[in-house]
Amino acid sequence: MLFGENALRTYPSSCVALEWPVGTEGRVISELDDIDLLVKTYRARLLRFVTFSTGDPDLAETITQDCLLKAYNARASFRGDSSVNTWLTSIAVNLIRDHQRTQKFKFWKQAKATAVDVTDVASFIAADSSSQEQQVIAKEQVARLSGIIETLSLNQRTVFLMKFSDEMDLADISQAMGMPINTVKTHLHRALKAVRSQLGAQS
Amino acid sequence: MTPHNFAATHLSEDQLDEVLLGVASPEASAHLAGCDPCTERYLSFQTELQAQMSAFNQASLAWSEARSNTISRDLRRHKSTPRVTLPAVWSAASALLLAAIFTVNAGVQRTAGSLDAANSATAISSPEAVHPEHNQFELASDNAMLDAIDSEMGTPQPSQFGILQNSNASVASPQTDAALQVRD
Repeated sequence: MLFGENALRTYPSSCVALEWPVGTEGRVISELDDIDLLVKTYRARLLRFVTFSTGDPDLAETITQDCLLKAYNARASFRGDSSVNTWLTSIAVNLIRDHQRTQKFKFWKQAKATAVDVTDVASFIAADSSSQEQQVIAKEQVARLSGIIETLSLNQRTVFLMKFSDEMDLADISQAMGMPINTVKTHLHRALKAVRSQLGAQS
Repeated sequence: MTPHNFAATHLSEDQLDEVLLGVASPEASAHLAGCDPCTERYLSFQTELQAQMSAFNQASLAWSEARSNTISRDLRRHKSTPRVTLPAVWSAASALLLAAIFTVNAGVQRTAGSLDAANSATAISSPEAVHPEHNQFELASDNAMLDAIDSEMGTPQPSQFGILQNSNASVASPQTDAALQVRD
């Protein structure tokens, strides 16, 4: 088995996060026991990840909410062998896959209908510590990168966001995606190649 | 690829990506440290990507924080409201059905019990059925009392007009007395 020990930590997409290897961390368990703390700590990051993975902010809200509820309800099965962030991300990935599998073409049709408003996202660039010109440049960068991310495949987009937005290391990405590290590297190489070529073409 | 090959050629895009991802081999890292063209290529892309990602991460996180407030409310509502599951519904329905059956059964038993009690009360209130000798004594006592009343009532009483009436006058009303007086 390529995955070895990590195989225990991966979940079939239809069965979200029910088995974890033994090993407890009191801090992690208490964090999962408090749903308000869980939401406060991870909600925004999860929502961003799911939004730009699916390209559909409305669907992302539903998946994020389901993800947090599933994690809270299944918290007894979490052994603390990985970070809560990685665990939550793996649940979110499985929910996205489940939704994509059940919706088929409707998934992408819906994503097109309620796509992320890049201008709206770019408007959240902080205005306090930069000049007007810098803000304009930053908004252009947000719009440009959002457009490039949208062109990636689901796997490429997902691992790219995990690596460069959530700053997860390859082992955590491998665990959250339920795929070998070499496969993660392949998706990242392809994603970077696409990003490099499009950044070069646009600049 | 051997260190000699690294010295002869430059790093490929995949090798530069591995440096970017932090998983480059020691040989590739060593080549990058000593090769200006590769360093320039690496830094060019790395700086560009970092600037793009920095702006994107900052804006998208602020956007999702602003947008996710509604999710928080929904989650709190979900937490405070217990989820009604199918087994719970069936349990509640079964409990109600059992309660209804027990209630009806208890009502039927209570009604039957009341009827029995009523019959028993009727039987108890029937003196002949319980104490016949006591009944005869009471009858004799009652008869004696009635006789005493009759004898008392049979004693001639002066009317309010001072005229003695016949024995029937004892039960007559004052108006009757007056009528008799007029006839006389």
